[in-house]
Amino acid sequence: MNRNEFLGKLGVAGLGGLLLPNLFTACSEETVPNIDVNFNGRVLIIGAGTAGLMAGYVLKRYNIDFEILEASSVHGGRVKETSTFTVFPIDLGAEWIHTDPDVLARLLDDSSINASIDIINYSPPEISIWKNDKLRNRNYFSNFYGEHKFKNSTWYSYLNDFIVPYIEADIIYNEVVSSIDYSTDNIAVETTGGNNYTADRVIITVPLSVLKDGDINITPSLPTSKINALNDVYMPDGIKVFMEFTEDFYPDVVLEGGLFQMNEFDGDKVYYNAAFGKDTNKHIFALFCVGEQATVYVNQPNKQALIDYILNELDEYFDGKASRSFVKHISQNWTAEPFIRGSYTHGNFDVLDELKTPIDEKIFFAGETMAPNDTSTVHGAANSAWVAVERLLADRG
Amino acid sequence: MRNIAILFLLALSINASAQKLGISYFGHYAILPGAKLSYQLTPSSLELAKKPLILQPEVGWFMEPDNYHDFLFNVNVGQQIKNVNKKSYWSYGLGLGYILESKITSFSQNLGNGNRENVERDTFHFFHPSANFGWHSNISSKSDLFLKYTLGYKMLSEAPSVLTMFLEFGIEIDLKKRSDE
Repeated sequence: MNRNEFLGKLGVAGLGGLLLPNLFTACSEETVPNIDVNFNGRVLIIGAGTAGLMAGYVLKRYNIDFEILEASSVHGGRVKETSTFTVFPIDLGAEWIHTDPDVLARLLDDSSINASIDIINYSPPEISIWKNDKLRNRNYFSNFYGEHKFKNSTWYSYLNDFIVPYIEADIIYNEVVSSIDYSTDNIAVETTGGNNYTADRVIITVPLSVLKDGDINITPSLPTSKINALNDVYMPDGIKVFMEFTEDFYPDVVLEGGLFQMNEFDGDKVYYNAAFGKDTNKHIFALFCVGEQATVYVNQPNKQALIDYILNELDEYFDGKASRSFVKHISQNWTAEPFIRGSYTHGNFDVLDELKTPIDEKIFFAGETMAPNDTSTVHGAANSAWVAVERLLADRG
Repeated sequence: MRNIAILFLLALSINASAQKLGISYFGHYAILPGAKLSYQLTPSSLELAKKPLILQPEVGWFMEPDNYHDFLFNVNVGQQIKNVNKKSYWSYGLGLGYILESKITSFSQNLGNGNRENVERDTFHFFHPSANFGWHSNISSKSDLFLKYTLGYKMLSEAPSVLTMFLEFGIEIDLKKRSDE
């Protein structure tokens, strides 16, 4: 049971859906598909987030000619880290491992790898809720909540250390794709900088917001069914803020609202001890907020106004202790990222199958929106890349 | 641990005529798996009373897969409310227990073979006061089925205190009655 579901189901099912989190994660295991290769052309991957990088990694294994066009100057997409804020690296984007951590091995699918990653068994015992202007202990929630986190690494370092080295030479940065023309066998891709690329197949892995906003002019236009599906899903605001304090005055997790209030908003808001399970004496408390509740944070005029607003909120929770022991902060406003523009997929998940469907077996889609299961997760995005490449290489066209 | 063992021996040494052995499923929040073994004593002088007192030393175990194992040592003092005309009866009681918890804190995930390695655990000790309410039904002269609800509190530990709830169902076997009675 992941964070997203945890927060959501608290409101609806009163924790019932969270029981046996570790059993549930064990049940959600997916294995990477067996791939039959009937294709030997050239592939362009649009986007170097998790799905784009993973698609390149898989294509590389099968010696398929490919390039990745990344709009920004860095890879990772919504997976991003800072290693300078404190003594351990911090995930500024995706952070939790919302499934059995053996997915980290399954995605790489390479038994010759002689490496391991330290994982925190994330079952925080101190959980409080902020309700009716009062902080209330709800530690028994911890019996229903279990996930995993990286101990001294991050999702970013996982991608960077075990996937990027194989494909680094095939990533072209600062290439913002403006159009894709698949009307002929030779697919033409053009960038805002005026560069032209051609390929036999294209895998689009850009965030849902970029696809919805029409940044990429696709010719012939997307089928009506796909456009309708796009209209049913969206990527709301998202922000993360990490704060260092001189003292540990907070529980491991603070949720807002009562059992039946948490689904009042379409999104998540949680304050959490970001140093939980890490080998450190630093006191790092963080805000993770997505959806309607995030709007007030992402729209603050500047970083000082943002931290002032948050400290004021925390002072209410903790009787002024936040301001008194505040040291510094770092924030990541995902809504403000020009090539991301939001958090992760929300809306009507019934339409996702339509979104995942390739167009004419020439244009394929991958990313957290297109995950075969576990939409809105990193491993879901990576799995979607495996599925897209499997279908591409099967060359059903 | 030593004190718990002494408490158990004390309980077993009480002059009691009715002695029942209980074996049950012991589900933390109903569905987290566990098991419990209990030994129920009723002092001889109260055996035939309508509301006999019971003393019940218990050992239990419950767990969440890949997360924790908890071992419970508990003494329950309670009362049974019997109706001679009925085959079922109620019980309620108060318990004082000790919980030893072994919890996985971290491990290494091997990226080649997918195995978990170097699993690290922390051990926590809790006192566990509790209250329980049960329903028992005779299924033969020697045995009862029972369903019990227990609400408790894991406390006085270096780990945060937390509410507990158990749903228990199982069988109690009378060790002293002969089957032809």
